[in-house]
Amino acid sequence: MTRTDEELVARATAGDQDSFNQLVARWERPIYALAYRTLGREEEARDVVQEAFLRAYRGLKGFKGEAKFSSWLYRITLNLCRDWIRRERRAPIVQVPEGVDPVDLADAQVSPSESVEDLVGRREMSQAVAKAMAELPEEQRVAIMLKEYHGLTFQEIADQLDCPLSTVKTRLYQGLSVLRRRLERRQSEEASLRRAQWESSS
Amino acid sequence: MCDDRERLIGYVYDECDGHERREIEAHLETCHTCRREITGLREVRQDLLAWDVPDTPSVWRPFAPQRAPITWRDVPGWMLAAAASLVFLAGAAGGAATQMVLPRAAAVVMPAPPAQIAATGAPREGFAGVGMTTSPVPSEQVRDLELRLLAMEQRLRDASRGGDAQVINASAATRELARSIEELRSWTAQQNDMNFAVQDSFGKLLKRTNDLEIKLTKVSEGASGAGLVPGKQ
Repeated sequence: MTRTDEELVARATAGDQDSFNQLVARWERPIYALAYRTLGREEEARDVVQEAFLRAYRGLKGFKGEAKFSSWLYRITLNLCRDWIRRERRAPIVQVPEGVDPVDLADAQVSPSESVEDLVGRREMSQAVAKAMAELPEEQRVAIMLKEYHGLTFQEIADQLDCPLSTVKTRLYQGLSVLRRRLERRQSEEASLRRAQWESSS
Repeated sequence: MCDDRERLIGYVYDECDGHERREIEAHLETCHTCRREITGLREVRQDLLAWDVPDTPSVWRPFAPQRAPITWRDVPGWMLAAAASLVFLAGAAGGAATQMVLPRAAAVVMPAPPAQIAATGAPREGFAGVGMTTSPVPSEQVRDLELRLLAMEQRLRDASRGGDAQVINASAATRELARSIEELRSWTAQQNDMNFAVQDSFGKLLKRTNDLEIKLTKVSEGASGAGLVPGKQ
């Protein structure tokens, strides 16, 4: 029987540690994704995930259930990410490997409908998005991440970021507009490059 | 409508009510700019889906399964009995040690005055038993040792309650206490010997007194029968 987050939280608060294990198993991946996309670093993202769950465990008794458990967890994670960025005084970076390793590609799981060219294209797009996101102001980046990758409502994002609903919509609109311009520019640059390569080869 | 970006973003994310949706859709029928804007926002949302997150092993070490708390019902009867016996033995040993170690006021059997004996009407053979009183032996040494023991007990209590420095001093206090206990043991043995000697002397004295009294009574009765005593005539 699958228990809800609220049920697991109640049991964990009463001392059932296995219920907390289940909460971690359920939320570790989304929390890692949030930390990774915020920081752009795998190792630091893992540290943040570990610390976030430790803080959640220690603070379970103080969690009154006014918000969803996931929202509470997101807030802890985002605070930790902000602390890390401020402490390190570093902008989030994206670990983009130099080029794409063919061996890596061969080992990668490719769905039957996805060709190697498609996989290369997807990876390049992933890196381009990561790079464009890393260049956004933090408040826009976090709003987009919470909306796009974690499915929070406008109101939930406003609660997370302690700002008015209208500010959330503005940040989303401005962030998406900047991303759109950057990604369109990149696509046009790639198209020009491919055209030049084709012309030089012919 | 074209300048109201908040409404457009609500439409893109499908977070607007039905009335608002119908208004925006009606506007999009006629506004090419807003239509293009909406299409661009949807495309960039599509691009965002490409951002992969690398796989990573779990960083959480799950808690070990909990053991159920032990209740008295889970403990076998023989174990409870053994535990109770141990507690009893420990208590008995502590009591015995206390009896051996703690200083007690030395008691000396004192005979009650003859007038008191006569008032009670007790038989003369029971004289020693009925008429005994106890009184502590006055001793400067006892008072001194008692004061030292009290002082050391206080220091030990302070050490157990206090910080590290006091605890460090506690070992010195313990050594001093052990020395005093040894002195007390020796003193107690000495006092016991003295008590036995005193009691023995009192016993002998008492016997002689009783004998003398008996003889005196007989002599008095004899004299009275012979008319030698004026009062008995």
